[in-house]
Amino acid sequence: MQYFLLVYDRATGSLLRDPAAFAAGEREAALTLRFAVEKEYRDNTDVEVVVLGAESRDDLLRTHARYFKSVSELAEAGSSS
Amino acid sequence: MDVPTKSQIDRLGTRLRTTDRVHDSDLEMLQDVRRAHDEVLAEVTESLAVLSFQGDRLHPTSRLKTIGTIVDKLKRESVRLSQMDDIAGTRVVFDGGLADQDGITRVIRRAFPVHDVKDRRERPSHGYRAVHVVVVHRDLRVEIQIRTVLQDVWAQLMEKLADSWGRRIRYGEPPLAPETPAFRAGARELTRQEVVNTVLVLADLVGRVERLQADQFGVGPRLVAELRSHLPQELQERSREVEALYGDLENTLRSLMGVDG
Repeated sequence: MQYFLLVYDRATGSLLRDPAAFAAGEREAALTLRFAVEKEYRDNTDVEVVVLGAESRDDLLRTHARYFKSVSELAEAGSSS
Repeated sequence: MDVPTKSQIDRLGTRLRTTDRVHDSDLEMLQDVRRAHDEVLAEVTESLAVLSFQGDRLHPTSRLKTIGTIVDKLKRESVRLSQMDDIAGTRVVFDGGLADQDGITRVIRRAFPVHDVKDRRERPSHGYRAVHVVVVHRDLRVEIQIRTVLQDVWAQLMEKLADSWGRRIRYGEPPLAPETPAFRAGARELTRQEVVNTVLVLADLVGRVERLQADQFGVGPRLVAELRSHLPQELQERSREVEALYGDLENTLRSLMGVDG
């Protein structure tokens, strides 16, 4: 598994920074960084900080599309599924 | 890492439920709780990743709940923190129908000690459909969400709208500023409330199309499409019924294209 740290702004529906990737052996480092970034945004309830585990980036895009796509793009992807 | 006892965790949950700002010492304890869940989540997800159904691996992805969503859930529901099923969660999304979903659920139930199975297909939660299997590993719970592609498309759309229009729309409440125009296409304009209503119509269509598909064929939509020309006349006609519902579904999805957010 790989781990991806996302910093997502719910208000704008977009990522605030590029996802940071961590290798399989770096899960704890990803979590430690997540906790630090959460503290950074502690007073902003619109910002969601999350670490997602996945075997590949494609798997991540498939199961957590909301972080990466707009409403229109989600609807378009759904209509062609 | 000191993992708090269950009673310490529950007392923490009580404090979190009643405060507007999490105290630093409570935040540290919550991080210990989440760190413990993260370890079992990684182990359960690794185990899931080697399972397969009908020759296809499950490709799970994992996530640990945020502080905000833990506190929201404590405030929304009467659940104790030590009993919360989804602090650790993993998700499987697959291309198939209800029969496949049952099959994947069976594979998972055979592989883990199961605490609970929540089938949200017949009685969806405000439109949300999925099967959730809560497994226990090293005395902690991990929620495994099993979704078809259609169920997932719906869930992602609702989550996305909830991000900017208020997360409580996921529980049946109106969006913030419900009369605000969500988008305009020519002379047509939909308010946020109308878009949310459309998404709820979509939820119903997803349920109907998946049930019809399962009742008539017992296999997923991809296989029916592949086999259609080989089906007897009667089944071909029935498959057109399913196809018509898919058409409604697609049109509803297309009506959401252009929504801001």
